[in-house]
Amino acid sequence: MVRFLHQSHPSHRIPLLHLPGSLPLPLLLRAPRLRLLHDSHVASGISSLLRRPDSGAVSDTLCAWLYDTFHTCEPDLHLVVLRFLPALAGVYLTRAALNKPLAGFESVLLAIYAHETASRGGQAVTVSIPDLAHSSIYHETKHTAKKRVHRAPPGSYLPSLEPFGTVRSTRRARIVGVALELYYSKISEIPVGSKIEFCEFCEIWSGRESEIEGERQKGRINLPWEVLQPVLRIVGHCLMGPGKSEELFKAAFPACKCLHARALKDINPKAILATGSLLKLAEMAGGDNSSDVVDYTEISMSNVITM
Amino acid sequence: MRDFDLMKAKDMFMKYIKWREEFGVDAISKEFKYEEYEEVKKCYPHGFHGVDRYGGQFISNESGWLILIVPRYPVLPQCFNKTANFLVQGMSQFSKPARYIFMEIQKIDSSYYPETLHQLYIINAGSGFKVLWKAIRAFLDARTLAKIRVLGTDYKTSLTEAIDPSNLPSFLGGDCTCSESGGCLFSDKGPWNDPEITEMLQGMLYTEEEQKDGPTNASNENSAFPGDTDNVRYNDVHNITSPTDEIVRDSPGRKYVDKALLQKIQAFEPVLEDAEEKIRMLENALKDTKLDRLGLEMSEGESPDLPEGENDPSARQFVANGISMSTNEVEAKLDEGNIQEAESALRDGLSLNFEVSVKNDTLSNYFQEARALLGKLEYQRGNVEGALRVFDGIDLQAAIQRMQHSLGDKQPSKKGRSRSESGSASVVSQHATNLVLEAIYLKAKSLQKLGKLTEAAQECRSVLDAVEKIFSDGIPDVLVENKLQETVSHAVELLPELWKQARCYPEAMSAYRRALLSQWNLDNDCCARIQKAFAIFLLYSGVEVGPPSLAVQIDGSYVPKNNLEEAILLLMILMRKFYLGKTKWDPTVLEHLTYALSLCSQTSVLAKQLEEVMPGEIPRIDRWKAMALSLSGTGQNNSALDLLKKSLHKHEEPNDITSLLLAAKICSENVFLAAEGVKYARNAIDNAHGPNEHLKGVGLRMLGLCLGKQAKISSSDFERSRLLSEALKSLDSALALEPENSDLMYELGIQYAEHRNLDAALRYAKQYLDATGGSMIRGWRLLALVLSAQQRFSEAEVVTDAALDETSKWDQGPLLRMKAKLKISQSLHKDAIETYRYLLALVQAQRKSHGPLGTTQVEDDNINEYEVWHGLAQLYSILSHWKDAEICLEKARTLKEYSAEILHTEGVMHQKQGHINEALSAYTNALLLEPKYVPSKILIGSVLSKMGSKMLPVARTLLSDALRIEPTNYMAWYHLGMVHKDDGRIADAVDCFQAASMLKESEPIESFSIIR
Repeated sequence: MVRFLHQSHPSHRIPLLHLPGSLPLPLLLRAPRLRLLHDSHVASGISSLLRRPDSGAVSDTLCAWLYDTFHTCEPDLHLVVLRFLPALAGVYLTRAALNKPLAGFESVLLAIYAHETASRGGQAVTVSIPDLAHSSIYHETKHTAKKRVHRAPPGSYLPSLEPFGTVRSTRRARIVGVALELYYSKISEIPVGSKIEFCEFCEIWSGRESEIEGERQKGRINLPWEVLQPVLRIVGHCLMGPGKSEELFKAAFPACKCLHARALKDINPKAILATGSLLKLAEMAGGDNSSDVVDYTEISMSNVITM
Repeated sequence: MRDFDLMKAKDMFMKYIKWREEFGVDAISKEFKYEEYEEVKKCYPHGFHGVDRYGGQFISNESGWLILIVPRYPVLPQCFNKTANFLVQGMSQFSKPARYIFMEIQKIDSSYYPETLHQLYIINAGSGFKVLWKAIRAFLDARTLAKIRVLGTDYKTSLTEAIDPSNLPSFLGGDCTCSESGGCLFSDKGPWNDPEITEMLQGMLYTEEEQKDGPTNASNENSAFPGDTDNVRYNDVHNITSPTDEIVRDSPGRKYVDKALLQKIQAFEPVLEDAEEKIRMLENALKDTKLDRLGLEMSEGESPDLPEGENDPSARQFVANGISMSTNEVEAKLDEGNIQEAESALRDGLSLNFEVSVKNDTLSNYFQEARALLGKLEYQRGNVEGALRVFDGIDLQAAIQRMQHSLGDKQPSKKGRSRSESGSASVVSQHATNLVLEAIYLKAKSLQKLGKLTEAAQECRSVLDAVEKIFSDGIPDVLVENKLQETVSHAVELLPELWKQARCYPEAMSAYRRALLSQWNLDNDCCARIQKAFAIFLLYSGVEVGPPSLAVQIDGSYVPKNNLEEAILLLMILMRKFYLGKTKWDPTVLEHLTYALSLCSQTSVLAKQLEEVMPGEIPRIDRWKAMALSLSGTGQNNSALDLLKKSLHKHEEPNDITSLLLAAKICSENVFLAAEGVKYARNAIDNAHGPNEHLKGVGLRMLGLCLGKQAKISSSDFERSRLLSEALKSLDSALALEPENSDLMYELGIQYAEHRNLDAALRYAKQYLDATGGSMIRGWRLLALVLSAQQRFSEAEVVTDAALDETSKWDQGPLLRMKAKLKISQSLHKDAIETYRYLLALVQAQRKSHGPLGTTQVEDDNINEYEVWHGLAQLYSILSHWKDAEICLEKARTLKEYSAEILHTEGVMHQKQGHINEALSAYTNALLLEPKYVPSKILIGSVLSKMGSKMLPVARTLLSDALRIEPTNYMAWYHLGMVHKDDGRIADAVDCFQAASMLKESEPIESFSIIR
């Protein structure tokens, strides 16, 4: 099916695209990195390029630029690429079924995947659940005398990774999932705009029915656990993460609702539980408006100042 | 008096009489010899001196800081000396017993000598007293309090207002020196030394007593002048005791003296003992100052309820050393930006230069303490910029050194120096240090409020650094001043928040860990708050900094490896705290834990956690539902269904759509539950309205699946086809509601395929493959199987090859098996053997490397080595390579000892070689292992049918049985047709052959139900 034979992108090649009402892309791309990351105008320009109907082909210069940028192995530039991952992955996954050549997108995704595979050494990430009957660094029990601790076998959290040179369709979800996992691991440095974009795609992916137009929006995709898991982590961050942004919360809340509805439709117990809890937490957090939250770090104010 | 409450007054009067009798008070004046007088006087110079302007006595001590004026009642100096002595000593070494005595005295004073105390002036008070005064006030009633005046340096005017300068000793600003009797304190000057007056007084006393002794008189007096009892007495007494009174009467009462004397001496003894006892207590108390100071400071914090009037709660004020001052002046100075002046105003107002500090350290201490107080004032006024300006001058390092120094002193004290001395020094020093630490903390808070978060965090961190330096072995449970602990707890909690707000996430992470891993002596609630905040941070921040350092890892204890593990650990600890009752239940903790455990697919742990939640914390139906989801999430469907049945009980929530759908889904996977599932699904569809309307499609899908499953075990053909068509109808309407739902396409494809409606099946299989972009292996497999059922083997093979291309090698097993079978179907046996060999190598490699964890899409249907060997054996058996086949079977047998399939294949091999009996026994054994093993049933039937007409009914029963289990098995139809033919039922035989041929033409190379 979809094959991508991507060997090299001449790194000197600068895409000659023009953003609507803006500087030509080459100029934009020469701008300081932080500007690339945080300039919302540039960001929306690049994002709309990614969403164009003919984007993502082998010849897509923007994809080539993203690919080259990611290969510079500079953390800052990785961030620039990851900033556009929501748009890229969003467009890619919704178009994957259309049998269009998407090698441009795939090259970027594969680069991210390869990076993550290398940095994890291909190893799976497991989660072993503590047994509270035995001491941990955060608590003590009387049973420390017991010699061997029998713990439940660790549950796999992130799968082990094999290197891929191409995107095999049955591995598409895995590759995108790994890229989203990397996005999540850098999410504290990623601008809010990118996260909002991601939340919008969550709604599309889960098959939200557009209320305004009264018609279904195309773009519902299969949400296997390997995609859903990082998606839920990212949405969790958008709702509950530090450095709250009202705007982000407003985007993430409906996204979470859509994902919950989707989980119910799929009767996916894990997803129902995770999204259900997130919704409840978000409702609780949204309800109190932070005004009646007790600040426990405030000293007791009294008119009598005693020594 | 007593506020003119008659009953109260009467009650009091009776009590007074009783008390006087019991304690022989009247004897004191006559018989009490104040032997300790000289001793006490040495230690504590004091004396009665003269009268005030209204004729009262007054007592003063040498340093002159206490002046009592007792104008109205004939209490003799000795008695009062004793009282005053208690009072003074008690107050100077204010300890618990002393406080008790003081209260006793106070009780005696105000209950039995009401209004005796006219005025008490406290002047020149040392800081010690000032500190104590505040606490003492708590024990005094408001009226008494009003009589006590604490005077500042300008006390002279106030005193001379009350006492004529001629009576006032010179050291108190009066004119009297009493040079003739060695100084005012020793002169005992006063009208009570005038013999005439004394005599009159004594006489008067007895007259009074006489009156009181007469029971009728007393009661008459009380009843006759109930409202005036107090006043009468007051007037009498006043007249009598007044030294200016001219009337001197000779009392007839003297004749009673001797008799009364004896009684009263006896009565006095217990009082004396009591007094001695109290002195002993005082002495003990002296030794114990340290603890009591501590206790006092605590009570200081707890009882700010100062008498009203004096302290308007709406006005801000400083309270220190028992003195309160309004902050107005200081605030005004601060508003002018004049910190220095504000500071000195504060110091003057509060007399901050008290002795303990002088002993301890240099002048800079007062400077710092004043600054700290000023800063706090500014902070509380909300002027955080101002607070910052004030705080800037505070030297934290000096405070640390001071504290370390005092703690260093403390260590050897256990051996050498007296405990109380250094202990109190340490407490005082803790107190001073706390002021500074609190100031730095408030500086951090101020910076936070100004949005200077990084700076704030740095200040806050320096508080914790300081505390760690001071208490290098962790904060002790005791010996920590309350306020200091409060500041520490605040700082511990604030620091990670500040880093978080400053977006310095790695710093926040280590601040959280520091808060939870070091000994801060936090209370349960504070610790729980930090644990929760940290868990939330770990769960949602996306900031991974690696596991806690090795330094904190204790042998054998669990160390989380990543954020998720750490968050789960903390949340589980919190859950445990809830059910141990250590902290208050917080529903959000369970939600966070649900999220975390679901994310890492550990919902069985979640089920256990949900089970442990205390009843009443979550509604039982919510608990059952959540537990059912958790259990179903880890495949424990039976337990999940049991819980769902409970929550779907007619008295609970029978129409809850989530429960209904989950129940239907669980039932749809089990043929024996399918009928039940149909009910749940129908109920779900009925309830899919309103906000749940979007769930109608999934209800229909579940209904379709359950009906399809139910059809499989249906006993009659009619019933079966009815169920199947209903299933298809249901799925079709679901697809109409959710045209984008690819799962529905797949389900329809499978249903049609099993219904042998291959064209429709092919259509949906293709549709599914397109909709999923070829990402689902089951889509490829379904398409290939449908094609193979249509006998389009080469096309099926193309699809299989394409699928293999799109699949990573660990997932290729089922596809390779299918490919081998396709080769066999095309009689390409050599290729089939090649494919099997490749498959074998793959499976073995996977087994050795244990394969990647959880990577396969087709985990449930992964190929195992046994299957490959068995498949090869079948292949060799087809090729009549008996030896090879046997070897393969042996290999298979080592992997699975009891297998109907192996026995069956053995039977086939025997049969092919003409060993009918061996074949039969192999088939029978297979059936003994698996009574429903259809292939063996069919072959036994076919073998028996060839054994003559007697065996035909047996063969027919066996074949019919096989068809009941597998109605689409063409072999069964074929052999049944043969039986009918042999029995002469040609029409039946024709039907059977037709069915067989139809089925054979639509037979897939593998059962459709194998893909899931």
